[in-house]
Amino acid sequence: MQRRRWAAAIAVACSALVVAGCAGAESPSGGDAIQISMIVPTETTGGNYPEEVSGAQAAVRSITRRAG
Amino acid sequence: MNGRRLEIVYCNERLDINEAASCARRAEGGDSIALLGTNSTNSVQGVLPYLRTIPNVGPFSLSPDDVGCPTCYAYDSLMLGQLMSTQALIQQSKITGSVQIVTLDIPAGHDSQNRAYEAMKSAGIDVKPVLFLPPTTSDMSTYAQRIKDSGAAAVVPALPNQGVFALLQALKQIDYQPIVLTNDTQVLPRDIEVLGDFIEGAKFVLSLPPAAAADRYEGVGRWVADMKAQQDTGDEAAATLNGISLHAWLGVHAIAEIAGQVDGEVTRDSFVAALKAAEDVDMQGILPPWTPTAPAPAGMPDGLNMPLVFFGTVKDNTLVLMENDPFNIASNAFQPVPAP
Repeated sequence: MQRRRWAAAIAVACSALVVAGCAGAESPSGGDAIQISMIVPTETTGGNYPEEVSGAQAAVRSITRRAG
Repeated sequence: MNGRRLEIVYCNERLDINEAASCARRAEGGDSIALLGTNSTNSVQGVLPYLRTIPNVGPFSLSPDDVGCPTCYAYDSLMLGQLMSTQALIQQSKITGSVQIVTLDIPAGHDSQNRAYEAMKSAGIDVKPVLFLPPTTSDMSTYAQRIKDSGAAAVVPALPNQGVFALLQALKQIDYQPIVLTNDTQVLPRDIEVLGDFIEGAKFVLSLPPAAAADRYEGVGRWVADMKAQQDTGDEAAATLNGISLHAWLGVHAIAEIAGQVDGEVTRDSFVAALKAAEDVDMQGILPPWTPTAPAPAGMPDGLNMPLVFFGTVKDNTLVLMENDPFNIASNAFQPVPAP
């Protein structure tokens, strides 16, 4: 029951997401970038750790900034 | 990176083994050079069988299988290290009296916590039989009362973050305050604020140092600053400074350094070759330099070549280090991290 409620909530949330990947589908990528994949239990009731992606993106921003 | 930008591509497995398999197949079949920090609850059953060519860098490991897979390259100890060192934390904290482990009644809960139970028992700790909760439990009052009735001096709530918070709130309501033994993925900084005095003095076993250790570890300070910059872009999740976000931040830096050693085009194949040849990868002074293919020390599971944990406690509403240096699970001693 709880699982279905979350699935419904995620379905709604995913329709509004552009950057964040949705269930079973990878987030959008573009061009000739060097890609690093992540598998995360984001936006779930049992393991809601979206900060994992934030930490990775923070590092990418930092590395990109330093590379000029 | 060789004139190309770095990009994170992520897939949400929603705690569903079929979704996890789908994510793994996409990662394996895609163009990514590496899979970072496989934080899949279904990692062994749902993810690892599909990973053949993509290196699994920094997998979130609950069991030896999670860290010892042929494509796994662990640069920190994560949950496995935390599970293996809870008894050392109890001994370091000089806790007397009995310990109660609480976890979910699911295969992963039985597997990991029965191991923790046996390790504690072997170390001579008075540990009570593991208390298993149905995964659908929302009302923790019954279990809080059972912990109180048991007279446990310390509790190990091995539950997802929301479950830990609910259990601690239930214990607080019945005015029973055992010493809480946990980690910073189960009790988040925002939980510490809300729980206030109830969580004061709680003991944490951490795979990486907390944000408050920025004065001791310069790399932690850079991570905190980068997370603030990320938060300023509108990413609210970047406000959570814990071992999960630091693990990912550290992993991207390690992957970038290794990719930078590729001579020519960075592809999955050339990255894997560089990964296997890499030595002393800079871990930002947070951990000792890492050699991905170094063997694990004697007595450690295959693949766990950085068997270090940090011990923390809550002091004045902040998670701080109990000891500046990490604890080496293999040598059973504290080990300084060399300055970068």
